[in-house]
Amino acid sequence: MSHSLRIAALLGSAALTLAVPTLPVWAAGGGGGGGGSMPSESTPQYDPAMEYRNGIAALREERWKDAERAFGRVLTVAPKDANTNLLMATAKLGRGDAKGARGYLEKAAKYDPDLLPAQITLGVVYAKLGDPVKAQAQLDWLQKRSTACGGTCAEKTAIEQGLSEVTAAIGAGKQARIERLDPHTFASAAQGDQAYIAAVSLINERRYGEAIVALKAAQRAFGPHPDLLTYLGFANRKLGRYDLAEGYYKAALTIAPQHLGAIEYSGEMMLERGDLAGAKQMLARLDRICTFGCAQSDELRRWIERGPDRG
Amino acid sequence: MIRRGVLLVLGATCAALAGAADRTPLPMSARWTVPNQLKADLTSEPGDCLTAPTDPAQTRSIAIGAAAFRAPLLLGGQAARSGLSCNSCHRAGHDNPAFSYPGLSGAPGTADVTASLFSSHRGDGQFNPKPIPNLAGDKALLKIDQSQDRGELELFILGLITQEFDGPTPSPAVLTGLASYVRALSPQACRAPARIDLASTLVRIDAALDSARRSAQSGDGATAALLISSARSQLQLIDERYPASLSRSAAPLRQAAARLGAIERQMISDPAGGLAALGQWRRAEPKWKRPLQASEAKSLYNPAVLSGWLSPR
Repeated sequence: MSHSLRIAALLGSAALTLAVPTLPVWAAGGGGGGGGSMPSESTPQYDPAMEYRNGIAALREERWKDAERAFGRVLTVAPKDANTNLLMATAKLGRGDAKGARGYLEKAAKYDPDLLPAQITLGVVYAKLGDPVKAQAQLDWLQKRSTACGGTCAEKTAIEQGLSEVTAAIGAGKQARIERLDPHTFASAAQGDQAYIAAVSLINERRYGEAIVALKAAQRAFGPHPDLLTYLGFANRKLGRYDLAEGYYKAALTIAPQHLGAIEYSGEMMLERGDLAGAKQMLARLDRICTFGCAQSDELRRWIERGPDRG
Repeated sequence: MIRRGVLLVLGATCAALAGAADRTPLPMSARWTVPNQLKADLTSEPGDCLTAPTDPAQTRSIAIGAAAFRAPLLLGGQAARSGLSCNSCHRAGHDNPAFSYPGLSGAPGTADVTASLFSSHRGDGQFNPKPIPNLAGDKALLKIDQSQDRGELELFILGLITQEFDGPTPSPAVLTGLASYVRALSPQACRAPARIDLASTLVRIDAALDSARRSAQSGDGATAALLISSARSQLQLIDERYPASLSRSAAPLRQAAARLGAIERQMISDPAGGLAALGQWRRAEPKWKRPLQASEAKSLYNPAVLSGWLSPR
């Protein structure tokens, strides 16, 4: 699969129609409880989701350095965001810096092993940088994935194309060619919105695995948005993956320290893990933020009063 | 404000609709309003259509219902997180032709009440938004029989709150109040559209807190708490009309709202103590009301200021 196709698979297939939000969408503290003020002084005074979109716009226009700058800012607050690492690598590759791209691709593949474009590109980059052993390891990974897929999964075509591309790159060695991306193959904000609506609906239907897939699709359009991170935490928590959930909640709160949902759900998870004191701290935090009242504090209060078996 | 970002759905994200020049988020009451109706909806609302009962108990019940109708915390789940109340779809008991919620609305003024987006109970897997009914219109056009003896309306409202919106079961007084309020709406009683200003919002806060006081006096802390939450949401609507340049005027309001939050929580476990605290709070009202009144002309209650504020959107 060409690099452009991989990016298309990553970000969706429609032409980019970025509708840039004008304000950090969590600036009101989530739910308007914060009166519109920005989060704490220690929070960087830029918006990672906005920077992410700026980076995508720059990629589209092949302004590689601008893209690097934008994704670099995102990574300072969300260093483990797989999509941003992949896009940073894409910007590096855009100006021919395969060596610079390698580390970001490794991180993207590490933080989200299911991110096929990262795994495939990493194999090609290893080959180009003269590291056939690691390139072969990527190929082995893809072959295992292909076996697991059994020729029936949704990723079948992408995996097959990836196998072909990495195989060819290993054969070509340092002459391996990395395809330039097609700048018109990014996800639109509207597609991200649709994925988000689907994710929230799926969560309400308790179809958490499918919700995670939809949330990740939305994340490709919006980047490390705290709402998405919070719901990724929620869905993973409902699947019993507490450590993963905690990581998402923490990531959301790093970006938006007053995010009501992340605080609420962190408190609920603390209760599920038997940490009543911690949950009460989260509730106190919500009560401080929610000057005019909020559903999040009411719900966490009910959990604390009635126990964590509320589903 | 062009695209209605669904990220707002969480209620964590109202500010996405804000204008580039002014970083103040849209007032909560206007988050789900189509852009071309923003100014109109922020300036006035449909006239009240309440009939005036002669029975004092019925009057009190309607007052409870009227306040609960505007309380986002009555509803649970995503609706409450989005700041939606009954009044969001049924402005002053009417319909809301300008209502538009991503993933829930088709054309403006419609809503899919069987969407999983809001409900873990009633999702039907189909996008089938319907026009929002006018509760203040001809009762023969409404699908639920409102006659008091059959009690169908109460059951419908209970299902709506707990199933359609995943909300907690309301107290009996709140449920009865909501039904009383809806029954008291009559097309023959409709008044002229009302201007939205500080005074009209303060009247609503007074009414909600008066009802809360009476509920607390009767030992019904749960009802009192919900009514206080309704008053707090009205305080938020006031706060949102005072942009950052008027923050000094709004600061006492925010302090008062925080204190009222503590009283709301106290009401649940200690209605008598909450009642005393509420009395104190009300005696101190001039401290936060006066600065707001003094600067109202500079606030977004002033249609001219509002127009300028909306213009970059």
